[in-house]
This record gives sequence, structure tokens and C-alpha cells, in this order.
Amino acid sequence: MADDDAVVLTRVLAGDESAFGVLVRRYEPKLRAYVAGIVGLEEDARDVVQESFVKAWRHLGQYDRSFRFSTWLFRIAHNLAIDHLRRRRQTTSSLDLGEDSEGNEVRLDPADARRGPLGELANRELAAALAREIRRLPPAYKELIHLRHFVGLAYQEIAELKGLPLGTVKNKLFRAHNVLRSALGSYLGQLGGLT
Amino acid sequence: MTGQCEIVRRALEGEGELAEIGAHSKSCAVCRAHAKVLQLLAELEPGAPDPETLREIMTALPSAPWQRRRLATWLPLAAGLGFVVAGLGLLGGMPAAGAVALVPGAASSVFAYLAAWFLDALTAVRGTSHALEIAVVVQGAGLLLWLGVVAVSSGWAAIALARGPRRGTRS
Repeated sequence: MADDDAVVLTRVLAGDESAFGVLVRRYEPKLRAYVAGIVGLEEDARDVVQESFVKAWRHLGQYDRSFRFSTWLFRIAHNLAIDHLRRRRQTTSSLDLGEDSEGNEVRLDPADARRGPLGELANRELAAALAREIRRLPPAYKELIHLRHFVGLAYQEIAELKGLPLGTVKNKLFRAHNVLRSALGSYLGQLGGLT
Repeated sequence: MTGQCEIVRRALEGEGELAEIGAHSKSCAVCRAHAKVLQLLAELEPGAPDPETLREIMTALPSAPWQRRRLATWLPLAAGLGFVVAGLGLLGGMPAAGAVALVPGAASSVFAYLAAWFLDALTAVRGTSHALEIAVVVQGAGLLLWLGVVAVSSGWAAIALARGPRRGTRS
């Protein structure tokens, strides 16, 4: 992916502005999920993401290629999202894990409220349980789960973004998955005799 | 959890490959559950962006600032302006007594010499010899040729200036 980005950036800097659309197409959904996790509101996230791409575009000539483009882009978006929050003076949780006791409405992906990724899961009860257990995770685990599964970042991208060693990211996510598996044991058992 | 379980689960998470994953998972319910959790989480990753959002972002991009000072933009302009200055010197519009002022005249002579040589060769082939007359005439033609070069270069510079920064296509 990083190599692909470098090739695309070379094209952009050589004058093929349409090639930037490849990067927008590649990172917009992830960036929106990431920003939505910070600002909370879908429409605000869209605005911040657009602002992020424009800012990246303006400063593309100063982009240091020793870093991944995705890392640079996510840092821009992070800073803009924080600025946006300051302007709005609004506090949000990093994840919108709203659910009701009936499991009728579960939103784990603030970036796409219409879709509601957990709502697409075949077993809504399992979806509700997964949302609940993710919410119960320690903050450090919850953030990594968010970055890995809701934003869709690779381990290496998470490591660079958070300034953590790659091994630490892998181990924390492994432990977080273990916690989720243990907590969801009974639900998973209903899906095909897992236990 | 056995040591084999940990190896299998890490393999499930993409840390290395293990041929025995399938066989082990058949006999280990916990590792099957781990695989199921990973599968559920993988379904949560964001999908493709909608085209309208992409269009809005692309149309919001300003002109590319990093292309404004490209050499390809400024080199023709600089070269053209250089010819203009030289042309002014040639026409006497630039009071320069040094070597620079001699450049246009020298260039004119070179053009004239080359043209005279070519026409001399041409007339020799045809069996007549008016090379000296031709050389005198062409000396003046060399001056005109030089002025033509200046005019073309000035036009080139003007076009480069009018086009502004080099722009690519953007969908």
C-alpha cells in the first residue's frame, strides 16, 4: 500500500492531478471513520475529512517521503479534528457504542450511521454483545480496536500513527481479541457449536 | 490455552502462516471462537466511499501550489526575456558598451555566414557563382533572422506567462 501511495504521489507531483483521486478514494472512508471517532458527528467528520485532503493537497510539496503518506494524512486529520472540537467546545467519546436493551439499534461506526456495521451482522444479539464488550475494554485496547477494525488501518499504520512499536500494537490487539472472545463465548457458541 | 493454541491464534491474526490452522481449529472450540471474533470484526471495516463525496473533495482542491515555481514554467519565460533584452541591445535600445552588446551582432554574423555558405554551395551546384553578392545580402537577412528569433521567443515567453502554472487534468 505504501509503495502504491508513493507511485501515485509521484504522478500527482508530476502534474497528474487526477491521480490524487486515487488517494482520496483509498483513504476517505478510513479517514472519515477515524475523524468521526474524534468529533462524534457524521457531518462534522465529512467536513473535517474534506479539509484534511485540501490541507494535504496544499502542502504536498513539503511532504516528507520518509513517512508513510497515510500516517501524514491521518496526523493532519487528527490535528484538524482536535481543532474542530476546540472550536465547538464539545466533548465526545471516541466510540459511539449506543445500544438499547433490546439490541434494536446499535451504532459502532459513527462514520456511517446509515449503514451501522454491526447492524449488518447476521446475529443482532451478537452484534449488541460485541458493541457492549468493546465498550468495556480498557481505553488503550478500545482505541486500538477502533483503529484496526472500524477505521481499517494496518498494524504498521497504527504503530506509526500512535508512535508505538509494531510488536506492542500486535500484542495489545491480540490480547484485546482474547478478551472479546472470552466475553462473547456464549454468543459465539450459539453460532455453530463453537463451545 | 496450549502453546499450539497461541501459535494458531497469532497465525489467525496474520502473524505468520501455519498449515495446521484448519486441523487444529476443528478440534479446538476456543480457537474457532477466536477466528469467529476476528471474522466479525473484519466485517466492520469501512467500505468504499460514495462518488458524491469524492467529487466534492476533488472539486474543493485549489490549484496545485507546488507547481507554481516549476522550472518548466519559468525556463521558457526566462529564456524569452533574455532574447528580448538581447534584441533591445541589437536595436540600440540598450546602452551597453561591453561585450554583451556585441552578442546580437555576432549572432547575426554567424547566421549570415551559415546562410551564405549554404546558398554558395547551392549556386555552385547550379553552375553560377554569386556567392559574394549573396553574402552581402544575407548579412542583412541575418539581422532579420535574429529579429525573428527575438519575436518568436517573446511570444513564447508571453504564452508561458499567460498559461500560468502547469495544470494537469482533474476528474
